[in-house]
Amino acid sequence: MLARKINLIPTEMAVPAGSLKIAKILKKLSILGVISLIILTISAITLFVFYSIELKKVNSSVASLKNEISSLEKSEQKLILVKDKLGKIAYVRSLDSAENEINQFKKLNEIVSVSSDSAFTEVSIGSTKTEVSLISNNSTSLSSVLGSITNLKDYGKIILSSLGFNPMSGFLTSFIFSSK
Amino acid sequence: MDKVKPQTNKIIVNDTPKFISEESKFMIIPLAIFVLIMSLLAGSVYFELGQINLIKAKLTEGKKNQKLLATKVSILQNVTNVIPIDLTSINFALPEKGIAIYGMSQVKSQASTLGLIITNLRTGSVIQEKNGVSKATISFDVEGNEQTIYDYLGLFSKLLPLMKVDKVSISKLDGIVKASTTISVFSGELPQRIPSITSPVTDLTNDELLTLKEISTFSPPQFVIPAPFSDTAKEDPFN
Repeated sequence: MLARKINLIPTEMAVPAGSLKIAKILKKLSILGVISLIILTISAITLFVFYSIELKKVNSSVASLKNEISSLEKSEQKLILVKDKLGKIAYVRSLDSAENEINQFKKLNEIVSVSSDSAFTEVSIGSTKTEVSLISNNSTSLSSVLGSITNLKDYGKIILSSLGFNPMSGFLTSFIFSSK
Repeated sequence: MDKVKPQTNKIIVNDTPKFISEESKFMIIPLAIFVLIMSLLAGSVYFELGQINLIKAKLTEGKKNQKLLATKVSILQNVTNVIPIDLTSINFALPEKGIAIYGMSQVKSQASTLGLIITNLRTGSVIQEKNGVSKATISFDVEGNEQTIYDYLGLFSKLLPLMKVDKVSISKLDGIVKASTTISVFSGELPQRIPSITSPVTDLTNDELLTLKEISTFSPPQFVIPAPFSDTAKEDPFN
């Protein structure tokens, strides 16, 4: 005998088919949600434990490295001191100095010294320029010195600031030599 | 005429009116379970992701520190091979104090070695420069052979403490050359702060190593400021 489904609920009390369908979907979604929740929680716990173990290892390694650094304290102080000094030395070395101008003036002095009729009377050497006063007994020596000066390649700019003549001493010239 | 009352389809249970329909009643439980599960899911996602991100951030930071400290240890272990044990030159290059005395000592001692005469030796006050560097200006007149004076002036760039020739005025009178010179002597203050253990250190660059090597060839001053006596227990004269 075939089993028959008997519904004794009054028809006006029966749940509509649409609601039944939604209820089924909700039930399925809820089961899916529970499964997701379990999987997610297990994964999260696994990941958390893994990261915790890793972190513990890293922290112990950092602690041991810190101990090692503490034992190398003297070396660190030495390095910091040397680095600090070297930084300051680099700064001092970057400051302008008259040293280059002195070296360039040496060459200028050699040129003038060749001529016995010319000599420097006054020289002022700074960090960026050299000012000189030159005396030449005659025009020949003056033109010779001027010719040598024009051939100088060490200076960026040469200014003839004054040119005078004194019958007693000869030609008096003043130059400004600038490297930049 | 009797009025016919319209029949309503209202379901009456226990004589009380039902405000919630049977359909809604049927949906309440699955919907409530669904909402609860979804809330739990959302909450757990939020909480778990937050915790994982937190521990991950800690791990990243820890690994970064580990790498930094490992590099630091390697550099520090190598320091003794790179930096000479004796740091006298580097200390004299920019002493903390006494630069005017060191500078004047160098001016006189180098001149006497070359047979030059120093007159009008004077010094100014110490002026603060940038980067913890200070300078003192020393002025003097030097007399002697012209070429020797140039050699002498060239020496200042290879002397300790570090010095720079600022200005030279050369005058010649009856074959005697006199150079009125102004030099600057530099000092450097010691670092004010001790860096923390986790702060990074960088190794010496090639330029720094070259400077270190070069500085060690410079001439230190002959004059040395004596170190203060250490506190020693004085002998009891009554015993």
